Amino acid sequence: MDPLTDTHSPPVLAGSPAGQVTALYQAYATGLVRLAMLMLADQQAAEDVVQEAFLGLYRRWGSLADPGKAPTYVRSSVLNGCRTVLRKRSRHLPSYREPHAESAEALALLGEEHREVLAALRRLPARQREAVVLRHCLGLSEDETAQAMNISRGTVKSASSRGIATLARILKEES
Amino acid sequence: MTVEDRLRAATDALSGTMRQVRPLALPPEQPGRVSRPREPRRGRGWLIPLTAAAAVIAVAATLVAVRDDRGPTQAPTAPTANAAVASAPRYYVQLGSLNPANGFRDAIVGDSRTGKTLATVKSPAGVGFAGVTGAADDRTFVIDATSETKPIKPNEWPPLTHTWYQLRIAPGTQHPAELTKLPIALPADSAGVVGLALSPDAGTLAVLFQPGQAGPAGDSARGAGGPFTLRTFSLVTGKPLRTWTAPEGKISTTVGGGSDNEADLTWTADGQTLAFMFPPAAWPSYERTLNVTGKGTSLLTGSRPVLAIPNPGKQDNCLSLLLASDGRTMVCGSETTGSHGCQQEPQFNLYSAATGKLTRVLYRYQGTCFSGEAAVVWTGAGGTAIGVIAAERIVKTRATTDWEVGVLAAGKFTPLHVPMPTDYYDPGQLAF
Repeated sequence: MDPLTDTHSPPVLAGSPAGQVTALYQAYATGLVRLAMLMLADQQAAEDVVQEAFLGLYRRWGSLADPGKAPTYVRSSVLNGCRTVLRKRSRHLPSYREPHAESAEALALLGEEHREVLAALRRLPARQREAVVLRHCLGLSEDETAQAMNISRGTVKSASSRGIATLARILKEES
Repeated sequence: MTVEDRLRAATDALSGTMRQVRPLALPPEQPGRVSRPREPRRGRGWLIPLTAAAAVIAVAATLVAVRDDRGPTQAPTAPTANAAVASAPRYYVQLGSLNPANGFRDAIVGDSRTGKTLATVKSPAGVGFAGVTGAADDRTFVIDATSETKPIKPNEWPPLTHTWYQLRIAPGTQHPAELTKLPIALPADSAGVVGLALSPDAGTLAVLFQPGQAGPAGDSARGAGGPFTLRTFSLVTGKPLRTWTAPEGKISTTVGGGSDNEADLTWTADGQTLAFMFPPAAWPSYERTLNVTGKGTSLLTGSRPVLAIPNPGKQDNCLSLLLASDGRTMVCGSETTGSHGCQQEPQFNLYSAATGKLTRVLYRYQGTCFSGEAAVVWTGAGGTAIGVIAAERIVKTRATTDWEVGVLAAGKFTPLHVPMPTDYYDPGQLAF
């Protein structure tokens, strides 16, 4: 099962580019929004990033050598989009761009235990967080994570293991 | 319960709180069309809807007082629109969006007057383009390319290696772009580059970076690494010329994230002064100028603060700031957020380098939008600047995407052809 689709088989791609991109979106959007939410803690911002990634895919559909690699490509685009949103947030005061109120409300519905884990996740350095989210939250393989992050498998290993160690320390300190 | 188990449980719980994802809103254009430069619009012109945090209008904006509600200062004699276009550099290098073939960004060499792409330069094997800067000759650019190397110790963060390339362009020839590796090297430890600027005469490269971000296994304080360092290099020999450092431990900014010129590092036209925002990507922050012929090695005491970056929450905030090439003024681009909407329009402001005071509003976005930002890419003498404006508008529940390029002068917009095909604009991805 693809952890980003929650389905057992990839979508059948046929028809117009718009139709194919839409089919991919229908199959992958929820998983990718989940990925972006883990990074951004804001569903509205997460959906914006995912929408933009698919718009980018649509614009470049004709230049894709292998449409089968579109999910990998769009996953990388989502990660890039998250990095940019986080970079922009970092330029401002913490209160300058709070998560959308609805997202804040949704997060409040999580139990304290889960909120602590997610808060600790967001304290990780960017690449550790990406590696941990892809490997351990979404269950991607090392190869898939490496492809999505444009880094080597060895780097995925070190980043995710280091991220887990850091998370353990943060959670221990806060308990 | 292990940390991994707790992560999975939290992810499942988070998934349970998600509302249904909204449908994909594709533009009516056919694929392929939308990545080409558009014909200039008429009527409302470039005031066009763009998507969330993404669609970008690149605007070459002359320092014309389109609207002055800040003081009695009179606008300088404004060049005509045609003169403004003629005085701005013609050719640009842009790091495009990810190339699906190799996962890295290409460097696109383009003609801003015709919209023609002169060359598409792929990154050399094993490295990815991360930032670009240009000289005053409109022909010479330097590109930073990064790659990860093996960790120094097991479980350490792998150092990021920077390799520097010169990109010489020769429009109208059979070889319009030539990429040459430069003998410039940053320290061997992982270095986050936050500023790069090629001197006007293309002889010196200035790099602002933070070395030593790698830490022991499990150390989460990666961003509080080594001291910020400004170093100049000879482009011919690759040798370091001068180095200035900030006191270690006093600056706790986390840097990195893919943008190479967060600090908006730039030279004055005489090659004597560097200007940069410091600390980068943070607030409070200051625009500082540093005389590269002066004595000393301290980045802080050796430089002079010329402007306290305005509060990010106010309309005259500075998303980006560049000292003009004559060193007398600074051009600032502001950002507005969805909570403010375009009741606070993104705008370009002019500040005095002598007093640090806002002189006037150079240009204010006039359309309706959900949010927007204005960033300065290039400044020249005689009151010319090139900037980027991004605006987002939501029509019903749908975000629409478009962009356009142009020159603003004497209250008139003259379209240019500088496509912004990437999903986001990052400082250092576009250079003239």
